[in-house]
Amino acid sequence: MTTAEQKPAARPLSSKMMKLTPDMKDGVLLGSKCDECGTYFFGAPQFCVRCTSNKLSRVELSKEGKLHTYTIVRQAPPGWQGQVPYILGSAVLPEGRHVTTEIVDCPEDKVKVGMPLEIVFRSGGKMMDGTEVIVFKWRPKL
Amino acid sequence: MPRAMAVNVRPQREVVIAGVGLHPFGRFPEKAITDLARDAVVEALADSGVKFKDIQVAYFGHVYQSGATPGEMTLRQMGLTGIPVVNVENACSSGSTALWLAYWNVAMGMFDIALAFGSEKVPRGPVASTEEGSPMRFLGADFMMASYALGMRRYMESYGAPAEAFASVSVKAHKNAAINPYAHYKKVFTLEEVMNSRKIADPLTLYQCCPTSEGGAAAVVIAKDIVKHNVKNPERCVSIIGAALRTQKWSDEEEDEGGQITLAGKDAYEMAGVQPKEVDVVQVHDAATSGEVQSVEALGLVPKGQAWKWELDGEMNISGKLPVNTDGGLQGMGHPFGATGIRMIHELCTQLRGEAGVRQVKKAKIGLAQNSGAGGVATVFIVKK
Repeated sequence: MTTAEQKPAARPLSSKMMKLTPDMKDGVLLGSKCDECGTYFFGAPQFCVRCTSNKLSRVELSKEGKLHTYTIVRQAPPGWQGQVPYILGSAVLPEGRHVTTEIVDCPEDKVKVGMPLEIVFRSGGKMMDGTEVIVFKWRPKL
Repeated sequence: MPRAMAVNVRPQREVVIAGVGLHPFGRFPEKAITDLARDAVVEALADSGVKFKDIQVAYFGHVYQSGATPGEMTLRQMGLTGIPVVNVENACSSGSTALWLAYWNVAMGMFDIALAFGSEKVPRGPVASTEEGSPMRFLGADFMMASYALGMRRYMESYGAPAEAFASVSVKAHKNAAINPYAHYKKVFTLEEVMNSRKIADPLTLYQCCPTSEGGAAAVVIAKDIVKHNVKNPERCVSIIGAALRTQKWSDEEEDEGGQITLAGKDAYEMAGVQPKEVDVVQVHDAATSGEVQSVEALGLVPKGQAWKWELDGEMNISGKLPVNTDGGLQGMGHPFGATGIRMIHELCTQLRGEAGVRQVKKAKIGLAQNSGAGGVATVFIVKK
């Protein structure tokens, strides 16, 4: 390995779901709002699945949520590169949408339905070509 | 503008199931999906007395699509009769979707005699719903059993249900499967054995997740007015009085709560002119034990928040208030995706015909079968004898 070799590139999981800071250590969640019925969505769908309108505006979503439910996954599902066991949590954003991803920095016995969480950005492993993928995860909001 | 037939209005033409067939569920390394399917079809035809040459249309339920046109590849072994054949995929509800198509084809007068069949060889290991490299996989969220576990935890928090209530679903399922010659797993488990089996996604343990399996199922559907000339024992026919299929509909209140089961249930009850309390024997989609608990409530068969108590009290046993999955369900039979929906109907017909032997529910007259598919699809059938 020579000093001239470049570090493998890193990229966000989806530019439709998140925008990262240049150092990729932080960022925001991206979403959309239906111009006709006012419903919020995660990411950039083409249509509002509530009212079928195609008039959506891009917005920045909140980064906090309330834990709706969770499970401790003890068998690695297909494609999972993280640790096992891991906590999979589904939390609700103030905008109403649920976001399901790993809960980090939280001991198993401290997870509680209803607990406040905040979004953080961490590595989600590597793609086939070696590129690191940055994903959003939940962590307890202090 | 002419109004289309509403899907919760029963058509004038009465449709019955004349025969059902099942290939045992298990592991059959020497058999292809076409073999499993063919054996089920042969049994269904023999059960009905209908000849293959009189089948006018056929729908084959299957998920993994091992090669193209497996339905045709199966039926060409029975005879090259030139009939329309369609291969149907709706995830775990592929089989019941095939039956839904067969039923409505006959009910609306497109055809008089239809065949619905399905088979699958599900490989061992966790089942994924998305493709390789999908965002869901990087998030650790592409795991069917974890999805069930999320719903389970929510239910437990909402109603104070203990983990034992769900484990008892598996105990019952395996007790029923042990007396069913077609079942994949015939071993009986205690509550402790279920609770202490390998943890998959808390609180789901291994014995609370339906086994991957192989098998086939088939049903012959016929217009009632021609039964006399085509069916061996007309008195064994079972009427289809409700046949519904729905996908997820946006709900402002509940996100990801699978409202399609309730919707399909409502369609079926209205079409059948039946109230939930009139149902004598039930089949629901117990891919995970929590599936049974939540489905019977979604179908209005048990008041919300009560099903976990009914399970613990044994009310879903064969001798209970609401017999559910009397053949072992997905838990005990195993779950070959394309076959499951029709396997449910096979058991309901067996019960309504009074031919279930040691698994017989007394005076079973009305049966209901609910089958789900990943991706937000549900079917509900109501049958009567």
